[in-house]
Amino acid sequence: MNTATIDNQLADMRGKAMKLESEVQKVIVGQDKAIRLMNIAIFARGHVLLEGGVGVGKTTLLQAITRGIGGAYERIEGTVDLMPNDLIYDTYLGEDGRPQIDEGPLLRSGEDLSVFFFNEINRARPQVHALMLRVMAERHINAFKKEYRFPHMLVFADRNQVEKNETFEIPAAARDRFMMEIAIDIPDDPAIRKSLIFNTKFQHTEKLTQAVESDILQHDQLNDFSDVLQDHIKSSDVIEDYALNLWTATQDPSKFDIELDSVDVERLIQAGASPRGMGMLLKAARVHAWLMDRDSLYPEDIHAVFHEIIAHRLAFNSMYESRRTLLARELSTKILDQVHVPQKA
Amino acid sequence: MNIKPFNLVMLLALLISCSLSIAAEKITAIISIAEPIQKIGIQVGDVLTRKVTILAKTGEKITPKFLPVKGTRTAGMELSKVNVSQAVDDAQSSYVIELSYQVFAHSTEAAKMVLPEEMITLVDGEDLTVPAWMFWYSPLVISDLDDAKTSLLPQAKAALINQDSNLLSLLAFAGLLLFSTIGIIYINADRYWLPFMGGNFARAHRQIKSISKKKTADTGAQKVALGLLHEAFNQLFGRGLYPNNIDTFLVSHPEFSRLKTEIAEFFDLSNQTLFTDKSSDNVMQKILSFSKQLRDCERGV
Repeated sequence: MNTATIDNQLADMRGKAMKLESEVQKVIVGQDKAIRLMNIAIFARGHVLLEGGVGVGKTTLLQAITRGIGGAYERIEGTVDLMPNDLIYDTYLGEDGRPQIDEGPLLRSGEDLSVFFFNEINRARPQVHALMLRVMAERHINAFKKEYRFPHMLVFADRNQVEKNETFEIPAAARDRFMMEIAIDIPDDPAIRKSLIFNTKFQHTEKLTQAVESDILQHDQLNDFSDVLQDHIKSSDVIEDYALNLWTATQDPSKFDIELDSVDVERLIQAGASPRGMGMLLKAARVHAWLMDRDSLYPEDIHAVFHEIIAHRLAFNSMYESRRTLLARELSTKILDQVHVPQKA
Repeated sequence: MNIKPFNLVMLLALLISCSLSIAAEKITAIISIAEPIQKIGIQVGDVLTRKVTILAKTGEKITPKFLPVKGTRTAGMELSKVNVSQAVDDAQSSYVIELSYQVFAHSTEAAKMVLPEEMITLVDGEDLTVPAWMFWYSPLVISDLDDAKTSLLPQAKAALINQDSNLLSLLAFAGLLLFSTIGIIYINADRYWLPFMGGNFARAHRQIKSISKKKTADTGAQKVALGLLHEAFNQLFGRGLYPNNIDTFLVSHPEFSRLKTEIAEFFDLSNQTLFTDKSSDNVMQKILSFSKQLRDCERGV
């Protein structure tokens, strides 16, 4: 493809990406930042962990996005008795009284699957996590003596952060498979809060998502476009040095004089960001640069996605794990404050 | 006719009164004489002027030949000037005759002298007399002066001109000059030992100035210069300053508010130079100029 064609394709897709955002914003209010981050994840082809309380609109958000990007939407609930095969097949008694087996939610849509929502993933057992994480990484599975491929699938998983009984925390290595962890918080704006509880349109989720224009994007074209986008956005030596410094800071914050209240920074980190995590950081930052109509990476692009990509990857010493959410947010903020670009001469 | 003596007397008085009345109407009189103000201390060469004012009936004139003759010298007084002026209205005329006399007398002692009596004759033959006026003549030296030396007084020291106001002006000007000179040096100099020259931007500006003298077109030098300014911003802010938190920076450092636009432009220039392959003109010059603006802002200039 020549440069002009690529430029046209980039501009065309940017218009569609913006259209997707505005359409979703029409039905999901007060979540502009989360919508932007999910848009970035879609074009960076990364799986997403959703963090938030109950009833904040995660499902509606995902349904709205699925309608915008096209393809099939599947969902499964994490429960303590959920087994891996529940994702692969369903068993039931047929009309003739004989047992029947159908494809499970993971296989049902085949290659058309674009969004798979795993609700309360931490209620499921580690065996289920293992299967899910493998599918996320490899995007295919063998079942019924054949190979099922999910090349366009993005997994969105929600963690129940409130209850700890009968939950199985996702280990750090598993969390690393998710590109981002996005917070879906209850909006602070009183006007939006009032609208959410008094405006009756928010009571009918199905009708609400129908308001989103369908098939704004073609989900089966996003992988190819993502490659074009990633090749198009350039990064200078300065920004690469900056990314390396940020990586070092996630591994050893004390090198950059980072201090946290009531925390021994020297003993805080067990493992910093992984190479895969840093790769995802730059990938998502490039998408942000593209959405900002630039062809070069700026520090702001990294900042826009840094916390959501790095925080859930940090492995803290066990004494600090109970405060993980708070400390991860504080640490990522301090890293961006203390690691400067360009680096001090 | 039998006329009583009383009536006769009364008739005679009436006649006399009428004749006096007719005569009074014809008389032209001197109504005032203004003699010289000073009556003593008059010396040789002094000019004394007397002013005689005459009131006359309308139509009467004073002919110069009936006035005292200029140049007449009487008892050491020479009539040096005669001047007549006239003011006429319907009822009467007034004349003012100025007679100026110059002293041509000499004496070693004080002496009595007079301005002589003068006669002014009018056209109808009526004479008006200006009486003599006495004054005292003062000698130039005293008569019994034997040794002038005893009478000499030491020469009085010349009074000094009061120069207080000039001195005040001079001091004010000198103070203003000194203040202006210090101000100009303060504004333009960039030595570290000057007051308020140890700030982040002052240091950065000195280093950028030094770099710009050597390599203005070198991209590496431009990146170093940009890095110095970024570092100054970060140190002042206490954390990394980026375009999205310029407003927060200005809230904590309002003295830089007037450079808000320039700061945003600096970040655009920095992003373009550091993170893209696009080039911009006069990058080093722009950095140098902006660093000086920041330094001046930091110093409160």
